[in-house]
Amino acid sequence: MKNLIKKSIYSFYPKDSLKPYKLKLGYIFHTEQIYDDTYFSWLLEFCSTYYEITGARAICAIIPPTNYLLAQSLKEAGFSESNFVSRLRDIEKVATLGYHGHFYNSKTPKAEFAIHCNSFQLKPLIEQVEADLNWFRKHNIDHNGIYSGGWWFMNAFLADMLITNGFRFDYTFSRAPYFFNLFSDQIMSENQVRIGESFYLESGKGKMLCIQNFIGAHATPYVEDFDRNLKNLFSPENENGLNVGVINSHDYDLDLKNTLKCIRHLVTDAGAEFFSHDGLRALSEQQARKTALLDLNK
Amino acid sequence: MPEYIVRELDIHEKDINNNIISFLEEAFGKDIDLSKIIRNTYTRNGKTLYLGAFHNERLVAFNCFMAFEFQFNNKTVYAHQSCWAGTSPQYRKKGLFSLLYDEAKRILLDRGSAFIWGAGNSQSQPILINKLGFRKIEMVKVEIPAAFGGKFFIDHYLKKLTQGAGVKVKDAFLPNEAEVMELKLGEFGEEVRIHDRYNNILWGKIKHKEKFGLKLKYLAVGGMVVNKPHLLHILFKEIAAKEKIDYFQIVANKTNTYLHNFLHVRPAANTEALVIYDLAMDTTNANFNFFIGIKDVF
Ligand SMILES: [Zn+2]
Repeated sequence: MKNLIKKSIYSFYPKDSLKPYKLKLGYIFHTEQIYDDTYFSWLLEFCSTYYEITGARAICAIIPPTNYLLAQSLKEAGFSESNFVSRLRDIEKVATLGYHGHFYNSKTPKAEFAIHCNSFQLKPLIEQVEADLNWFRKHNIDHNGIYSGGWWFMNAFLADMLITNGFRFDYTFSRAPYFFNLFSDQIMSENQVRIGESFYLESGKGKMLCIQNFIGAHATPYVEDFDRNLKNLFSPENENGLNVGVINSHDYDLDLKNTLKCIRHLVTDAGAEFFSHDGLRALSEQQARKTALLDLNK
Repeated sequence: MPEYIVRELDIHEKDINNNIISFLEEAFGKDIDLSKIIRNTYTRNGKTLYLGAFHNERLVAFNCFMAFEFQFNNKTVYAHQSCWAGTSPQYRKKGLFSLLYDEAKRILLDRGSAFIWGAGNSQSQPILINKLGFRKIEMVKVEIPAAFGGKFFIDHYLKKLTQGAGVKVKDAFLPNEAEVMELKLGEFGEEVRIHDRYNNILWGKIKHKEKFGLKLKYLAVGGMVVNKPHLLHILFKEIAAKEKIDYFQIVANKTNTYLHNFLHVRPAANTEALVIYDLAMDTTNANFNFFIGIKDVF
Protein backbone atom coordinates (compact mmCIF):
# COMPACT_ATOMS: atom_id res chain seq x y z
CA MET A 1 0.00 0.00 0.00
CA LYS A 2 2.76 2.39 1.06
CA ASN A 3 4.62 1.54 -2.14
CA LEU A 4 1.57 2.22 -4.28
CA ILE A 5 1.17 5.63 -2.70
CA LYS A 6 4.87 6.35 -3.20
CA LYS A 7 4.67 5.26 -6.80
CA SER A 8 1.82 7.61 -7.55
CA ILE A 9 3.31 10.55 -5.64
CA TYR A 10 6.65 10.13 -7.33
CA SER A 11 5.06 10.05 -10.76
CA PHE A 12 4.75 13.84 -10.26
CA TYR A 13 8.23 14.28 -8.82
CA PRO A 14 10.77 15.59 -11.34
CA LYS A 15 13.51 13.10 -12.21
CA ASP A 16 16.12 15.84 -12.50
CA SER A 17 15.65 17.59 -9.16
CA LEU A 18 19.34 17.15 -8.29
CA LYS A 19 20.56 18.58 -11.59
CA PRO A 20 21.30 22.12 -10.32
CA TYR A 21 23.81 20.79 -7.76
CA LYS A 22 26.67 19.69 -10.04
CA LEU A 23 27.25 16.49 -8.08
CA LYS A 24 30.75 15.04 -8.12
CA LEU A 25 30.36 11.69 -6.44
CA GLY A 26 32.25 8.66 -5.35
CA TYR A 27 31.20 5.42 -3.74
CA ILE A 28 32.63 4.07 -0.51
CA PHE A 29 32.02 0.71 1.13
CA HIS A 30 32.51 0.05 4.78
CA THR A 31 33.69 -3.43 4.00
CA GLU A 32 33.04 -5.61 7.04
CA GLN A 33 31.90 -9.12 6.13
CA ILE A 34 33.86 -10.28 3.12
CA TYR A 35 34.27 -13.71 4.72
CA ASP A 36 30.66 -14.26 3.68
CA ASP A 37 30.58 -15.73 0.15
CA THR A 38 27.36 -13.99 -0.84
CA TYR A 39 28.35 -10.53 0.34
CA PHE A 40 31.76 -10.93 -1.20
CA SER A 41 30.31 -11.84 -4.59
CA TRP A 42 27.86 -8.90 -4.42
CA LEU A 43 30.73 -6.59 -3.62
CA LEU A 44 32.79 -7.70 -6.59
CA GLU A 45 29.81 -7.59 -8.91
CA PHE A 46 28.85 -4.13 -7.72
CA CYS A 47 32.35 -2.75 -8.16
CA SER A 48 32.62 -4.11 -11.71
CA THR A 49 29.20 -2.89 -12.80
CA TYR A 50 29.72 0.45 -11.08
CA TYR A 51 32.92 0.85 -13.07
CA GLU A 52 31.11 -0.03 -16.31
CA ILE A 53 28.45 2.60 -15.63
CA THR A 54 30.61 5.39 -14.28
CA GLY A 55 34.20 4.70 -15.28
CA ALA A 56 35.07 5.10 -11.61
CA ARG A 57 36.42 2.68 -9.02
CA ALA A 58 34.65 2.33 -5.72
CA ILE A 59 36.58 2.70 -2.46
CA CYS A 60 36.48 -0.23 -0.04
CA ALA A 61 37.48 0.84 3.46
CA ILE A 62 38.21 -2.46 5.14
CA ILE A 63 38.36 -3.62 8.73
CA PRO A 64 41.50 -5.64 9.42
CA PRO A 65 41.14 -8.94 11.32
CA THR A 66 42.83 -7.43 14.38
CA ASN A 67 39.46 -5.82 15.08
CA TYR A 68 37.85 -7.67 18.00
CA LEU A 69 34.52 -8.24 16.26
CA LEU A 70 35.99 -9.35 12.94
CA ALA A 71 38.43 -11.67 14.72
CA GLN A 72 35.48 -13.28 16.49
CA SER A 73 33.45 -13.55 13.28
CA LEU A 74 36.34 -15.06 11.31
CA LYS A 75 36.85 -17.60 14.04
CA GLU A 76 33.16 -18.52 14.10
CA ALA A 77 33.07 -18.79 10.31
CA GLY A 78 36.31 -20.82 10.27
CA PHE A 79 37.71 -18.34 7.78
CA SER A 80 41.48 -18.12 7.70
CA GLU A 81 43.59 -15.00 7.63
CA SER A 82 45.22 -16.07 4.37
CA ASN A 83 41.79 -16.41 2.75
CA PHE A 84 40.97 -12.97 4.04
CA VAL A 85 44.12 -11.52 2.50
CA SER A 86 43.42 -13.26 -0.77
CA ARG A 87 39.93 -11.73 -0.89
CA LEU A 88 41.47 -8.30 -0.33
CA ARG A 89 43.70 -8.96 -3.31
CA ASP A 90 40.59 -9.70 -5.38
CA ILE A 91 38.92 -6.50 -4.19
CA GLU A 92 42.03 -4.53 -5.05
CA LYS A 93 41.56 -5.51 -8.70
CA VAL A 94 38.23 -3.69 -8.92
CA ALA A 95 38.34 -1.09 -6.13
CA THR A 96 40.64 1.12 -4.06
CA LEU A 97 41.32 -0.06 -0.51
CA GLY A 98 41.20 2.08 2.60
CA TYR A 99 41.02 1.56 6.37
CA HIS A 100 37.79 1.35 8.34
CA GLY A 101 38.20 1.39 12.13
CA HIS A 102 35.79 0.25 14.84
CA PHE A 103 37.14 0.66 18.36
CA TYR A 104 35.91 -0.67 21.69
CA ASN A 105 36.24 0.14 25.36
CA SER A 106 36.02 -3.55 26.12
CA LYS A 107 37.39 -6.81 24.83
CA THR A 108 33.74 -7.73 24.22
CA PRO A 109 33.07 -6.25 20.80
CA LYS A 110 29.54 -5.01 21.18
CA ALA A 111 28.16 -1.70 19.97
CA GLU A 112 27.33 -0.70 23.55
CA PHE A 113 31.04 -0.74 24.33
CA ALA A 114 31.98 1.42 21.34
CA ILE A 115 34.57 4.12 21.66
CA HIS A 116 32.80 7.27 20.56
CA CYS A 117 33.10 10.98 21.33
CA ASN A 118 31.28 10.68 24.65
CA SER A 119 32.63 7.24 25.51
CA PHE A 120 36.18 8.05 24.65
CA GLN A 121 39.27 6.50 26.21
CA LEU A 122 42.62 7.17 24.60
CA LYS A 123 44.56 4.09 25.70
CA PRO A 124 42.34 1.41 24.12
CA LEU A 125 42.06 3.57 20.99
CA ILE A 126 45.84 3.75 20.61
CA GLU A 127 46.18 0.00 21.18
CA GLN A 128 43.57 -0.87 18.58
CA VAL A 129 44.71 1.59 15.91
CA GLU A 130 48.29 0.37 16.30
CA ALA A 131 47.27 -3.27 16.05
CA ASP A 132 45.20 -2.56 12.94
CA LEU A 133 47.95 -0.61 11.21
CA ASN A 134 50.55 -3.25 12.06
CA TRP A 135 48.31 -5.76 10.38
CA PHE A 136 48.22 -3.72 7.16
CA ARG A 137 52.03 -3.50 7.25
CA LYS A 138 52.57 -7.14 8.09
CA HIS A 139 50.45 -8.34 5.18
CA ASN A 140 51.64 -5.65 2.84
CA ILE A 141 48.11 -4.38 2.21
CA ASP A 142 48.05 -0.80 0.96
CA HIS A 143 45.34 1.34 2.58
CA ASN A 144 46.37 4.17 0.26
CA GLY A 145 46.33 6.63 3.16
CA ILE A 146 42.53 6.51 3.12
CA TYR A 147 40.43 6.33 6.27
CA SER A 148 36.69 6.15 6.91
CA GLY A 149 35.45 5.84 10.49
CA GLY A 150 33.20 3.15 11.90
CA TRP A 151 30.03 4.57 13.48
CA TRP A 152 31.22 7.85 11.92
CA PHE A 153 33.46 8.28 14.92
CA MET A 154 36.20 10.86 14.67
CA ASN A 155 37.89 13.06 17.23
CA ALA A 156 41.08 15.07 17.54
CA PHE A 157 43.10 12.15 18.93
CA LEU A 158 42.10 9.72 16.21
CA ALA A 159 42.67 12.32 13.49
CA ASP A 160 46.08 13.14 14.96
CA MET A 161 47.02 9.47 15.09
CA LEU A 162 45.90 8.93 11.50
CA ILE A 163 47.88 11.92 10.25
CA THR A 164 50.94 10.78 12.20
CA ASN A 165 50.63 7.36 10.55
CA GLY A 166 50.54 8.81 7.06
CA PHE A 167 46.81 8.94 6.38
CA ARG A 168 46.11 11.82 4.03
CA PHE A 169 42.47 11.28 3.05
CA ASP A 170 39.44 10.94 5.24
CA TYR A 171 35.88 9.99 4.36
CA THR A 172 34.26 10.23 7.81
CA PHE A 173 32.80 13.72 7.99
CA SER A 174 29.15 14.18 7.16
CA ARG A 175 26.19 16.49 7.60
CA ALA A 176 23.65 13.68 7.37
CA PRO A 177 21.64 13.22 10.60
CA TYR A 178 22.41 9.51 10.93
CA PHE A 179 26.13 10.06 10.39
CA PHE A 180 26.31 12.79 13.01
CA ASN A 181 29.46 13.00 15.09
CA LEU A 182 30.03 15.64 17.74
CA PHE A 183 33.63 16.38 16.75
CA SER A 184 32.88 16.46 13.01
CA ASP A 185 29.92 18.73 13.64
CA GLN A 186 32.01 21.16 15.69
CA ILE A 187 34.87 21.22 13.18
CA MET A 188 32.55 21.85 10.24
CA SER A 189 30.50 24.46 12.10
CA GLU A 190 33.49 26.37 13.48
CA ASN A 191 35.12 26.45 10.05
CA GLN A 192 31.85 27.10 8.22
CA VAL A 193 32.32 24.07 6.01
CA ARG A 194 29.19 23.46 3.98
CA ILE A 195 27.95 20.10 2.79
CA GLY A 196 29.84 18.97 -0.29
CA GLU A 197 32.87 21.14 0.51
CA SER A 198 36.13 19.29 1.07
CA PHE A 199 38.56 20.73 3.60
CA TYR A 200 41.82 20.00 5.39
CA LEU A 201 42.40 18.83 8.93
CA GLU A 202 45.86 19.77 10.16
CA SER A 203 47.97 18.68 13.09
CA GLY A 204 51.59 19.51 13.79
CA LYS A 205 52.53 16.40 11.83
CA GLY A 206 50.79 17.05 8.55
CA LYS A 207 47.35 17.42 7.07
CA MET A 208 44.57 15.23 5.85
CA LEU A 209 42.09 16.06 3.09
CA CYS A 210 38.54 15.43 4.27
CA ILE A 211 35.97 14.45 1.67
CA GLN A 212 32.44 14.29 3.02
CA ASN A 213 29.84 11.56 3.00
CA PHE A 214 26.55 12.77 1.60
CA ILE A 215 24.06 10.08 2.55
CA GLY A 216 23.70 6.32 2.51
CA ALA A 217 23.39 4.59 -0.82
CA HIS A 218 20.02 3.80 -2.08
CA ALA A 219 18.11 0.66 -1.18
CA THR A 220 14.54 1.08 -2.43
CA PRO A 221 13.10 0.92 -5.94
CA TYR A 222 12.22 4.62 -5.66
CA VAL A 223 15.26 6.63 -6.64
CA GLU A 224 13.25 9.75 -5.85
CA ASP A 225 13.71 8.88 -2.15
CA PHE A 226 17.40 9.39 -2.64
CA ASP A 227 16.94 12.68 -4.48
CA ARG A 228 14.60 13.98 -1.80
CA ASN A 229 16.87 12.94 1.10
CA LEU A 230 19.95 14.49 -0.45
CA LYS A 231 18.13 17.65 -1.48
CA ASN A 232 16.91 18.09 2.09
CA LEU A 233 20.51 18.47 3.22
CA PHE A 234 21.36 21.08 0.63
CA SER A 235 20.93 24.81 1.00
CA PRO A 236 20.72 27.40 -1.81
CA GLU A 237 24.50 27.77 -1.46
CA ASN A 238 24.92 24.29 -2.87
CA GLU A 239 23.66 25.48 -6.23
CA ASN A 240 26.88 27.49 -6.64
CA GLY A 241 30.06 25.60 -7.15
CA LEU A 242 30.91 21.95 -6.82
CA ASN A 243 29.40 19.42 -4.45
CA VAL A 244 32.03 16.79 -3.84
CA GLY A 245 31.44 13.74 -1.70
CA VAL A 246 30.69 10.07 -1.48
CA ILE A 247 27.67 7.92 -0.94
CA ASN A 248 28.14 4.75 1.02
CA SER A 249 26.91 1.39 2.16
CA HIS A 250 28.26 -1.63 3.94
CA ASP A 251 29.06 -4.74 1.99
CA TYR A 252 26.46 -6.65 4.02
CA ASP A 253 23.54 -4.27 3.48
CA LEU A 254 24.18 -3.50 -0.17
CA ASP A 255 21.04 -3.56 -2.29
CA LEU A 256 22.80 -4.52 -5.49
CA LYS A 257 19.91 -3.97 -7.88
CA ASN A 258 18.42 -0.78 -6.48
CA THR A 259 21.72 0.90 -5.73
CA LEU A 260 22.92 0.36 -9.29
CA LYS A 261 19.55 1.61 -10.50
CA CYS A 262 20.04 4.78 -8.48
CA ILE A 263 23.55 5.28 -9.81
CA ARG A 264 22.29 4.99 -13.39
CA HIS A 265 19.57 7.47 -12.52
CA LEU A 266 22.07 9.93 -11.04
CA VAL A 267 24.22 9.76 -14.15
CA THR A 268 21.34 10.00 -16.60
CA ASP A 269 18.83 12.29 -14.91
CA ALA A 270 20.86 14.34 -12.43
CA GLY A 271 23.95 14.83 -14.56
CA ALA A 272 26.07 13.54 -11.69
CA GLU A 273 29.66 12.64 -12.40
CA PHE A 274 31.32 9.75 -10.58
CA PHE A 275 35.00 9.65 -9.68
CA SER A 276 37.54 7.24 -8.29
CA HIS A 277 39.48 8.27 -5.20
CA ASP A 278 42.12 9.99 -7.34
CA GLY A 279 39.49 12.06 -9.12
CA LEU A 280 37.80 13.03 -5.87
CA ARG A 281 41.17 13.96 -4.49
CA ALA A 282 42.02 16.20 -7.45
CA LEU A 283 38.64 17.96 -7.31
CA SER A 284 38.89 18.37 -3.55
CA GLU A 285 42.39 19.78 -3.69
CA GLN A 286 41.11 22.34 -6.13
CA GLN A 287 38.08 23.09 -4.04
CA ALA A 288 39.42 23.03 -0.46
CA ARG A 289 39.94 26.53 0.95
CA LYS A 290 39.59 25.80 4.65
CA THR A 291 41.96 24.16 7.08
CA ALA A 292 40.76 23.10 10.50
CA LEU A 293 43.45 22.88 13.16
CA LEU A 294 43.43 19.97 15.56
CA ASP A 295 43.47 20.87 19.23
CA LEU A 296 44.22 17.94 21.51
CA ASN A 297 43.54 20.04 24.58
CA LYS A 298 39.93 20.76 23.85
CA MET B 1 43.63 6.80 68.87
CA PRO B 2 47.01 5.16 68.80
CA GLU B 3 45.62 1.71 69.43
CA TYR B 4 44.01 1.52 65.94
CA ILE B 5 45.97 0.68 62.84
CA VAL B 6 44.50 1.52 59.42
CA ARG B 7 45.81 -0.39 56.47
CA GLU B 8 44.93 -1.36 52.96
CA LEU B 9 43.44 -4.82 52.52
CA ASP B 10 44.34 -6.99 49.62
CA ILE B 11 40.87 -8.40 49.30
CA HIS B 12 42.03 -11.21 47.02
CA GLU B 13 44.64 -12.36 49.50
CA LYS B 14 43.61 -15.63 51.06
CA ASP B 15 45.21 -15.40 54.48
CA ILE B 16 43.17 -12.45 55.62
CA ASN B 17 39.86 -13.87 54.47
CA ASN B 18 38.72 -15.48 57.70
CA ASN B 19 39.38 -12.33 59.59
CA ILE B 20 37.44 -10.28 57.05
CA ILE B 21 34.63 -12.78 56.71
CA SER B 22 33.78 -12.88 60.37
CA PHE B 23 33.88 -9.09 60.47
CA LEU B 24 31.68 -8.76 57.38
CA GLU B 25 29.09 -11.11 58.80
CA GLU B 26 29.04 -9.07 61.95
CA ALA B 27 28.90 -5.71 60.17
CA PHE B 28 26.73 -6.43 57.12
CA GLY B 29 24.84 -9.63 57.91
CA LYS B 30 25.18 -13.37 57.39
CA ASP B 31 24.30 -13.35 53.68
CA ILE B 32 27.20 -11.11 52.72
CA ASP B 33 30.36 -12.85 51.75
CA LEU B 34 33.61 -11.63 50.31
CA SER B 35 32.88 -12.73 46.76
CA LYS B 36 29.70 -10.64 46.79
CA ILE B 37 31.67 -7.56 47.82
CA ILE B 38 34.32 -8.22 45.18
CA ARG B 39 31.73 -8.65 42.43
CA ASN B 40 30.06 -5.46 43.59
CA THR B 41 33.14 -3.26 43.93
CA TYR B 42 36.15 -4.57 42.06
CA THR B 43 36.11 -2.63 38.79
CA ARG B 44 38.32 -3.84 35.97
CA ASN B 45 40.83 -0.99 36.32
CA GLY B 46 42.06 -2.71 39.49
CA LYS B 47 42.39 0.55 41.46
CA THR B 48 39.63 -0.07 43.99
CA LEU B 49 40.84 0.55 47.53
CA TYR B 50 39.75 -1.55 50.52
CA LEU B 51 40.67 -0.09 53.89
CA GLY B 52 40.45 -1.70 57.30
CA ALA B 53 40.93 -0.41 60.82
CA PHE B 54 42.45 -3.01 63.13
CA HIS B 55 42.45 -3.26 66.87
CA ASN B 56 44.86 -5.79 68.31
CA GLU B 57 45.17 -7.39 64.85
CA ARG B 58 41.41 -7.71 64.63
CA LEU B 59 39.48 -5.99 61.82
CA VAL B 60 36.98 -3.66 63.46
CA ALA B 61 36.03 -1.16 60.74
CA PHE B 62 35.98 -1.32 56.97
CA ASN B 63 35.40 0.97 53.99
CA CYS B 64 35.65 0.42 50.29
CA PHE B 65 36.54 3.06 47.71
CA MET B 66 35.53 1.81 44.28
CA ALA B 67 37.70 3.07 41.44
CA PHE B 68 36.01 4.26 38.27
CA GLU B 69 37.47 5.49 35.05
CA PHE B 70 36.19 8.77 33.63
CA GLN B 71 36.56 10.85 30.53
CA PHE B 72 37.11 14.51 31.45
CA ASN B 73 37.72 16.86 28.52
CA ASN B 74 38.99 13.82 26.61
CA LYS B 75 41.50 12.86 29.29
CA THR B 76 41.24 9.70 31.34
CA VAL B 77 40.98 10.26 35.09
CA TYR B 78 40.13 8.02 38.02
CA ALA B 79 37.94 8.82 40.98
CA HIS B 80 36.67 6.74 43.88
CA GLN B 81 33.22 5.99 45.22
CA SER B 82 32.98 5.38 48.94
CA CYS B 83 30.82 2.42 49.90
CA TRP B 84 30.50 -0.60 52.15
CA ALA B 85 31.24 1.31 55.36
CA GLY B 86 30.96 -0.89 58.41
CA THR B 87 32.10 -0.92 62.02
CA SER B 88 31.87 -3.69 64.58
CA PRO B 89 29.06 -2.81 66.99
CA GLN B 90 31.29 -2.41 70.04
CA TYR B 91 33.62 -0.06 68.15
CA ARG B 92 31.03 2.40 66.95
CA LYS B 93 31.14 6.10 67.89
CA LYS B 94 34.91 5.94 68.32
CA GLY B 95 35.73 7.98 65.23
CA LEU B 96 36.80 4.99 63.13
CA PHE B 97 34.67 6.12 60.17
CA SER B 98 36.58 9.41 60.04
CA LEU B 99 39.87 7.65 60.64
CA LEU B 100 39.32 5.47 57.57
CA TYR B 101 38.35 8.48 55.45
CA ASP B 102 41.42 10.45 56.51
CA GLU B 103 43.64 7.58 55.45
CA ALA B 104 41.71 7.09 52.18
CA LYS B 105 42.12 10.76 51.31
CA ARG B 106 45.87 10.50 51.87
CA ILE B 107 46.34 7.26 49.90
CA LEU B 108 44.06 8.20 47.00
CA LEU B 109 45.52 11.68 46.60
CA ASP B 110 48.92 10.05 46.50
CA ARG B 111 47.67 7.76 43.72
CA GLY B 112 46.28 10.63 41.69
CA SER B 113 42.57 10.05 42.24
CA ALA B 114 40.54 13.10 41.15
CA PHE B 115 37.95 13.00 43.94
CA ILE B 116 36.02 10.80 46.33
CA TRP B 117 32.28 10.70 46.02
CA GLY B 118 29.46 8.92 47.69
CA ALA B 119 25.83 9.12 48.54
CA GLY B 120 25.84 8.28 52.19
CA ASN B 121 22.69 7.81 54.18
CA SER B 122 20.90 9.87 56.79
CA GLN B 123 23.56 8.90 59.34
CA SER B 124 26.71 9.32 57.31
CA GLN B 125 25.84 12.37 55.21
CA PRO B 126 25.98 14.88 58.09
CA ILE B 127 29.41 13.51 59.07
CA LEU B 128 30.68 13.60 55.48
CA ILE B 129 29.53 17.17 55.00
CA ASN B 130 30.08 18.73 58.41
CA LYS B 131 33.14 16.85 59.59
CA LEU B 132 34.92 15.47 56.54
CA GLY B 133 34.66 18.38 54.14
CA PHE B 134 32.41 16.89 51.46
CA ARG B 135 30.07 19.13 49.48
CA LYS B 136 26.61 18.23 48.36
CA ILE B 137 24.92 18.14 44.93
CA GLU B 138 21.18 17.58 44.86
CA MET B 139 19.56 14.82 42.84
CA VAL B 140 16.84 15.23 40.24
CA LYS B 141 14.66 12.82 38.31
CA VAL B 142 12.47 12.47 35.27
CA GLU B 143 9.92 9.74 34.76
CA ILE B 144 8.94 9.18 31.15
CA PRO B 145 5.71 7.32 30.43
CA ALA B 146 6.42 4.47 28.06
CA ALA B 147 3.18 2.52 27.69
CA PHE B 148 2.08 1.67 24.11
CA GLY B 149 5.70 1.56 23.01
CA GLY B 150 6.19 5.13 24.17
CA LYS B 151 4.29 6.39 21.15
CA PHE B 152 2.44 9.18 22.92
CA PHE B 153 4.77 10.53 25.56
CA ILE B 154 8.40 10.12 24.69
CA ASP B 155 8.36 13.03 22.28
CA HIS B 156 6.98 15.24 25.05
CA TYR B 157 9.81 14.38 27.42
CA LEU B 158 12.73 14.50 25.02
CA LYS B 159 13.59 17.95 23.77
CA LYS B 160 13.62 18.59 20.06
CA LEU B 161 17.26 19.45 19.76
CA THR B 162 19.38 20.47 16.85
CA GLN B 163 22.06 17.94 15.99
CA GLY B 164 24.89 19.35 18.11
CA ALA B 165 22.93 20.25 21.24
CA GLY B 166 22.43 17.90 24.18
CA VAL B 167 25.86 16.29 24.01
CA LYS B 168 27.95 19.13 25.35
CA VAL B 169 30.24 17.55 27.86
CA LYS B 170 32.84 20.23 28.46
CA ASP B 171 34.15 20.02 32.03
CA ALA B 172 31.96 16.99 32.67
CA PHE B 173 33.10 13.75 34.24
CA LEU B 174 31.76 11.03 31.96
CA PRO B 175 31.93 7.58 33.52
CA ASN B 176 33.38 4.92 31.28
CA GLU B 177 29.97 3.25 30.97
CA ALA B 178 31.58 0.14 29.48
CA GLU B 179 33.39 -0.35 32.79
CA VAL B 180 30.24 0.26 34.83
CA MET B 181 28.13 -2.05 32.63
CA GLU B 182 30.73 -4.82 32.77
CA LEU B 183 30.82 -4.59 36.55
CA LYS B 184 27.03 -4.81 36.78
CA LEU B 185 26.83 -7.60 34.20
CA GLY B 186 29.32 -9.54 36.30
CA GLU B 187 27.19 -9.11 39.38
CA PHE B 188 23.66 -9.38 38.00
CA GLY B 189 23.93 -10.97 34.55
CA GLU B 190 20.85 -10.62 32.39
CA GLU B 191 19.05 -8.55 34.97
CA VAL B 192 21.07 -5.72 33.48
CA ARG B 193 19.39 -4.50 30.31
CA ILE B 194 21.56 -2.79 27.70
CA HIS B 195 20.24 -1.11 24.59
CA ASP B 196 21.89 0.95 21.91
CA ARG B 197 20.90 2.62 18.69
CA TYR B 198 22.85 5.10 16.58
CA ASN B 199 25.65 5.35 19.14
CA ASN B 200 23.28 6.30 21.92
CA ILE B 201 23.44 3.78 24.75
CA LEU B 202 21.09 3.28 27.64
CA TRP B 203 21.25 0.60 30.30
CA GLY B 204 19.41 -0.20 33.49
CA LYS B 205 17.34 -2.73 35.37
CA ILE B 206 13.69 -3.67 35.11
CA LYS B 207 11.87 -2.94 38.35
CA HIS B 208 8.29 -2.99 39.59
CA LYS B 209 6.36 -0.53 41.68
CA GLU B 210 2.83 -0.15 43.01
CA LYS B 211 1.43 3.20 41.99
CA PHE B 212 -2.20 4.35 42.16
CA GLY B 213 -3.13 0.75 42.99
CA LEU B 214 -1.52 -0.50 39.78
CA LYS B 215 1.46 -2.75 39.44
CA LEU B 216 3.82 -0.89 37.12
CA LYS B 217 6.91 -2.12 35.36
CA TYR B 218 9.69 0.37 34.73
CA LEU B 219 13.25 0.65 33.58
CA ALA B 220 15.45 2.16 36.26
CA VAL B 221 18.04 3.82 34.06
CA GLY B 222 21.52 2.97 35.29
CA GLY B 223 23.44 5.08 32.84
CA MET B 224 23.56 6.41 29.33
CA VAL B 225 25.89 7.68 26.68
CA VAL B 226 24.52 10.24 24.27
CA ASN B 227 26.36 10.71 20.99
CA LYS B 228 23.50 11.57 18.63
CA PRO B 229 20.94 13.48 20.76
CA HIS B 230 18.58 14.17 17.86
CA LEU B 231 18.15 10.38 17.49
CA LEU B 232 17.77 9.61 21.20
CA HIS B 233 13.98 9.39 20.90
CA ILE B 234 14.38 6.38 18.60
CA LEU B 235 16.29 4.47 21.27
CA PHE B 236 13.71 5.30 23.94
CA LYS B 237 10.87 4.12 21.70
CA GLU B 238 12.66 0.90 20.83
CA ILE B 239 13.28 0.14 24.49
CA ALA B 240 9.68 0.94 25.42
CA ALA B 241 8.45 -1.49 22.77
CA LYS B 242 10.96 -4.25 23.53
CA GLU B 243 10.85 -4.16 27.32
CA LYS B 244 7.09 -3.47 27.50
CA ILE B 245 7.59 -1.08 30.38
CA ASP B 246 5.19 1.50 31.75
CA TYR B 247 7.83 4.14 32.28
CA PHE B 248 11.50 5.03 32.38
CA GLN B 249 12.91 6.35 35.62
CA ILE B 250 15.98 8.52 35.24
CA VAL B 251 17.67 9.69 38.43
CA ALA B 252 20.82 11.79 38.30
CA ASN B 253 22.55 14.62 40.06
CA LYS B 254 21.53 18.02 38.78
CA THR B 255 24.88 18.84 37.12
CA ASN B 256 24.58 15.93 34.66
CA THR B 257 24.73 17.63 31.25
CA TYR B 258 22.79 14.83 29.54
CA LEU B 259 19.74 16.12 31.42
CA HIS B 260 19.59 18.90 28.81
CA ASN B 261 17.98 16.29 26.57
CA PHE B 262 14.94 15.99 28.80
CA LEU B 263 11.90 18.01 29.80
CA HIS B 264 9.99 17.78 33.11
CA VAL B 265 13.08 17.18 35.24
CA ARG B 266 12.22 17.68 38.91
CA PRO B 267 13.89 17.34 42.31
CA ALA B 268 14.32 13.79 43.60
CA ALA B 269 13.71 14.60 47.23
CA ASN B 270 13.87 10.99 48.44
CA THR B 271 17.22 10.20 46.88
CA GLU B 272 20.36 10.92 48.89
CA ALA B 273 22.38 13.76 47.47
CA LEU B 274 25.70 13.17 45.79
CA VAL B 275 28.61 14.21 48.02
CA ILE B 276 32.03 15.07 46.65
CA TYR B 277 35.46 15.61 48.17
CA ASP B 278 38.18 16.94 45.87
CA LEU B 279 41.54 15.25 45.77
CA ALA B 280 43.83 15.79 42.77
CA MET B 281 41.35 18.01 40.89
CA ASP B 282 39.36 21.09 41.71
CA THR B 283 35.88 20.00 40.68
CA THR B 284 34.00 23.02 42.02
CA ASN B 285 32.71 24.02 38.59
CA ALA B 286 32.70 20.58 37.01
CA ASN B 287 29.68 18.59 35.88
CA PHE B 288 29.16 15.00 36.91
CA ASN B 289 27.39 12.93 34.27
CA PHE B 290 26.49 10.22 36.76
CA PHE B 291 23.25 8.33 36.78
CA ILE B 292 22.06 6.19 39.63
CA GLY B 293 23.55 2.99 38.16
CA ILE B 294 27.08 3.89 39.12
CA LYS B 295 26.15 3.45 42.78
CA ASP B 296 27.28 0.25 44.48
CA VAL B 297 23.71 -0.40 45.64
CA PHE B 298 22.16 -0.23 42.16
ZN1 LIG C 1 31.53 0.04 10.11
